[in-house]
Amino acid sequence: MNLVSVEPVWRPESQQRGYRVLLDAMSYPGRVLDLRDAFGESRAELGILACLIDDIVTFSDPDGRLDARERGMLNAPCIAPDLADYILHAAERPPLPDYTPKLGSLYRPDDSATLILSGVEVGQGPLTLLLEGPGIEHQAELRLTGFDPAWFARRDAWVSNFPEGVDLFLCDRFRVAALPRTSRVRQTE
Amino acid sequence: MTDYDEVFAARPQWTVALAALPKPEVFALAGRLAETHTVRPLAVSQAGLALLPLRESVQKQTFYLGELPLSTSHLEIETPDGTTVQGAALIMADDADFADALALCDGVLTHRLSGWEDVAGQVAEGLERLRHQARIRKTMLTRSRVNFSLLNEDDE
Repeated sequence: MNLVSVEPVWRPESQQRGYRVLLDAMSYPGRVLDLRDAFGESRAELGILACLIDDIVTFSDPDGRLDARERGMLNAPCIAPDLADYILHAAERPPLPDYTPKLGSLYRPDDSATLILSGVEVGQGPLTLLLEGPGIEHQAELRLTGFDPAWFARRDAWVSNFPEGVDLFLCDRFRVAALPRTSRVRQTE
Repeated sequence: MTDYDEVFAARPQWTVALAALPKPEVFALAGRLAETHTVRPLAVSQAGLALLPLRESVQKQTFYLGELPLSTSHLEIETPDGTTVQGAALIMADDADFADALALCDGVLTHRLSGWEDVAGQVAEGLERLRHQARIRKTMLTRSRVNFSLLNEDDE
């Protein structure tokens, strides 16, 4: 008997579909994918976190994008952004000057952070990123709205000492694109 | 006639008492409560195995005694007049739906929401079943008692 119904974003079958989309996004950097098939009308940022987070990892929400119930449903410790495994940021605001997420180490590159940057629109907009690297044939173009360019300048510094670095998911209301640390990014306006 | 004072004094036993009843009865009760109140989860209800950690008394080191089935539920219950309360349950069973039902009963009875008398009645019935089980176990223990002192006398 099912007394309590939850939104699709919290159901295992939806999270499995969403995880498949995130794997595809990481495999093909810059490709814009829709998460509505997995999460319905739930926000992409919430769906990404629901897929990736459990009580074994830590997360941070420095811009307060989640409400108390959503944080509770994620069931993960919420800590300072420079210590967290997963960090949700409002992409319109530039990163703080002294902000550096976990970058891992030469022996533990996996001990690094994954950033979820939530902006206005992924796939269209004035900010253009030209991408090269694994998973991209020749060159890919990713256009963005509501993403402060400073994020990508800072990312260049964070991933400069490979295999250390960070992985990025860029999302809007329903869509997502990924920038793994292996991608080389050039900005054009 | 339900003794409500006894029921409220036995709050630590509510979940055990309800779990002592047939599951269909508890689900039927929770179903009626869910028709009256709006129920939302505050955490994803989970069912599975949990490790039981214990600390041994010599070296004070933690070890895992073993696994046990565990289900958890944490709900928010909103009454028709807009009052919002919470209920929760943690049970040794691999059944998240049953944990949801117990959490709903917990919230309704704790805050005396509409339908709490029905829950109190079921808890009282569960407590009576637990007492009956305890009496049976006590009788079995008494009947199976062995007097080892007689063995000593034979040896002598």
